[in-house]
Amino acid sequence: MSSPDAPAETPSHPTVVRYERLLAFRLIDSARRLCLEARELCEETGLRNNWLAVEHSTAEFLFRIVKQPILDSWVQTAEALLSVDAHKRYPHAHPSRLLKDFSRLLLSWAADMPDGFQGEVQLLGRRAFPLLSGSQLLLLNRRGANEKLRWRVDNQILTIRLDGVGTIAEVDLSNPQERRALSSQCALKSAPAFAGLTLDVWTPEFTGRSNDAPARSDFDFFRVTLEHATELLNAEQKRQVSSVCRCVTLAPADTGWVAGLIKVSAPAEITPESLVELSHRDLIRRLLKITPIRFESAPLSTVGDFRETFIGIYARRAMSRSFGKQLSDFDDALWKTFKPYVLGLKYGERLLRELGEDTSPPPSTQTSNESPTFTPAAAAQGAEARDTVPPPIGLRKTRAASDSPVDWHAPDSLLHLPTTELERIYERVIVNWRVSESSAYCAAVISYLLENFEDSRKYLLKCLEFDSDVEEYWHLLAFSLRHLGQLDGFDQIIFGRTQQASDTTDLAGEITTAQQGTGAA
Amino acid sequence: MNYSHPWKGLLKELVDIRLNEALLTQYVAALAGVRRALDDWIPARHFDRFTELMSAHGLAVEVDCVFKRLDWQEAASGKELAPTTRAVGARYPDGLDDDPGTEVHVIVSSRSDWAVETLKSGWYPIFVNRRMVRKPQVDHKWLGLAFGYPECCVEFFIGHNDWPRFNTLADAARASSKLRWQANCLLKNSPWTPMFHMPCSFDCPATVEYSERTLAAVEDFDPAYAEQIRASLKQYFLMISEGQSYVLTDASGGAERVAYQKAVFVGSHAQYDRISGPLDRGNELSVEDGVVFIWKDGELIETFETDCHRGIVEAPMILRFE
Repeated sequence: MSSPDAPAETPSHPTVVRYERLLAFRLIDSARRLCLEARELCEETGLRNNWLAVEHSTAEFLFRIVKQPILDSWVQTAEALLSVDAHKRYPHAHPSRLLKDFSRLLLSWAADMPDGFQGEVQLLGRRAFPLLSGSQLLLLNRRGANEKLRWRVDNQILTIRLDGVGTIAEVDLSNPQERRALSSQCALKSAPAFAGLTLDVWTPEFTGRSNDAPARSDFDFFRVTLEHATELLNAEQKRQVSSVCRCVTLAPADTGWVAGLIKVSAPAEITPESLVELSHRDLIRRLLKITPIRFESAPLSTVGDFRETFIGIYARRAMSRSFGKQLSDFDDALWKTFKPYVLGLKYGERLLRELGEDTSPPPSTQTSNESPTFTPAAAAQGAEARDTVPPPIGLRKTRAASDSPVDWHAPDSLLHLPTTELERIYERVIVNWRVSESSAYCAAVISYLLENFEDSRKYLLKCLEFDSDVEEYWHLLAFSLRHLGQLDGFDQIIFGRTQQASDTTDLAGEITTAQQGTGAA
Repeated sequence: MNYSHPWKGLLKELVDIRLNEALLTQYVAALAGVRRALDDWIPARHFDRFTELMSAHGLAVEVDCVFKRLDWQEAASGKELAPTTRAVGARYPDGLDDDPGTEVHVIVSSRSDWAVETLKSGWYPIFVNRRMVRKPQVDHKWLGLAFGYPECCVEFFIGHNDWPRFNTLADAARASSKLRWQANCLLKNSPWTPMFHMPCSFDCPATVEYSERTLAAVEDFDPAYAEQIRASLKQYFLMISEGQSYVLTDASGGAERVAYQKAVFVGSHAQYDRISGPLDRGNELSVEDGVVFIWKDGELIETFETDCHRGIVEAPMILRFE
């Protein structure tokens, strides 16, 4: 096994600070968009009023709350819902709950609210409610659906009432250890913390479940394991972990990344090495979130998702350096392939430098395999085209050697245009189809959509003359042949080719010859 | 094989050959001319019997390709683009073998020209040489029309068949002024359905007519079967997504809260069933804010929080078809 390269300098994590500053803007952007685009929903769910309390607060307050993983979770979810217009299409499903959940965050910031401030939180079946930025938790002994927690701050005392029960808890915000659970319906718990990491196995935004928390014995085991693991970290490792991560929880692997939150599916996964590795995973994910880098035509698609593989290898490299361990041959080989590729990308050098990786030029002359992008709209030059076609979408050329599915954005995005508009674009692009690859492809796509399969075949064969190693051309040709009743041709393309580019050139010749033989050229 | 009904005649032969009780009404619909064509997957080892049976009943068969078991280790990227895809494709007849999981994808119609026409758009997403092979979206539209589905429903489906952004069933429910059992597609993965397409609304007149004509034809084959279908469709359902739905047996209540005896998963694939266990522990449920609340004798015992941001839009609803 070979040793990983030593970094040029020890990173100081300005990334985390930058990420959190940007998170503040993302929070503002999401909240404002929701208030603008889902006004009624924001009124019904209380987000509008709750947001006002935050919007009028200080920058210092904002930059403090963005350190909380629960806020990152809320913002990520809000952005995801906004991106699919769920707040418009299905407002009373998940979006409604998310907006109501902002009241949970506000309750956890009660210490920053002015005297006389009050709020309410609908239970929605939850039993755990973070207080004091997550350092304490209010745990209810039973569930409720529509009942609400109603809270108020008076003279630095946070008083919490539960519908149908009355006052259940009080917390002295000037001295949080002074707290009282006033009802058998609840308990107030301090979340244990080790090396700056809070252990929280109750908050549903962390655990991905709103039902029962782990048994007491399991929690104790988790606590002891975490305490022991953090004790074994040296000063630098502790600094690394605590300057990136805030909290540790038990959650299934598929519940998604939350900045600052270490998720494990079992307490036994917590070791000194895993803490350091997971903190580096968090670090690189934050950096990738704020760096506009695109992993196009990434190498080695056979190892699955490049981005996730890259994250994993970086984190293992960083952990290996930290503990003086050897990196595996497999990871080392992959890194040697990934590094020049990343260096060749826009922002790639910056990314690696911020991660503390050596950015000196690689020994080989290998350059990045950036694919050209082309769009039907780009082919349709002219003022009218901008009015008639959707905004250009960057298309990908899928090579035979890649396992990626074909990119059908071109025909799929034009599908909803009226026939008259398709014909109009077609008239513009056929002028250049013999000399312009993108014009030929655009003509092929439109012909296909208009069910002129003889023409789509003709244009696609031309596309293959320009570049015979494009799966989009081959597959659309295959489907054109299928619609022409030439199922043998379809089978030959779909089933009969290997992933050798040379194969395709021969087949294109055969199909062209066959076409000429039928007089269909 | 365990039968859920005492099948007889053509229907029994189809069940025995296909090892599957779904889609039977669609064969009847094709014979009766209610639908132009259908597609199906026939176990390779029974394929000869199948073609003989079709020929005996005057149905034309066109072959697409062979479906073979998918080894997930072999499949590389693209799985997320076709969540229901479960197979590797091979050319027919080269890909035939004795593996019980090997099937032939076919088009069936009462007319050979319709079968040929439907085959052109009849490609189904499968892995070939490690690559997911899909067809352009327009082919889904052409296929729906070739099958003979109502044009309004085909257009609706094309506009909404995008699981990360749309919940087609929720959209159909919202487009409905009534929930008519004839347009209830939630049992399409079972034998108890007269239809197989996603309707544009649950009171779409064309779909209601399609179902009634199909049921009239089924009645000629097996009156008890037709009656069982009607009874099955007139029930309460908890719909979360196309993949995850449940029929609530012996249920009563309204759209807000329903008491039930048992909840049975009727979604598209078992992998989407996430709450059969909790539902079994309760006897009442309600839905609010994307949360399914499960109650037992008046006490809230569990909740299930649905999401709209993890690749499938979940929009839970209680639907009562009448």
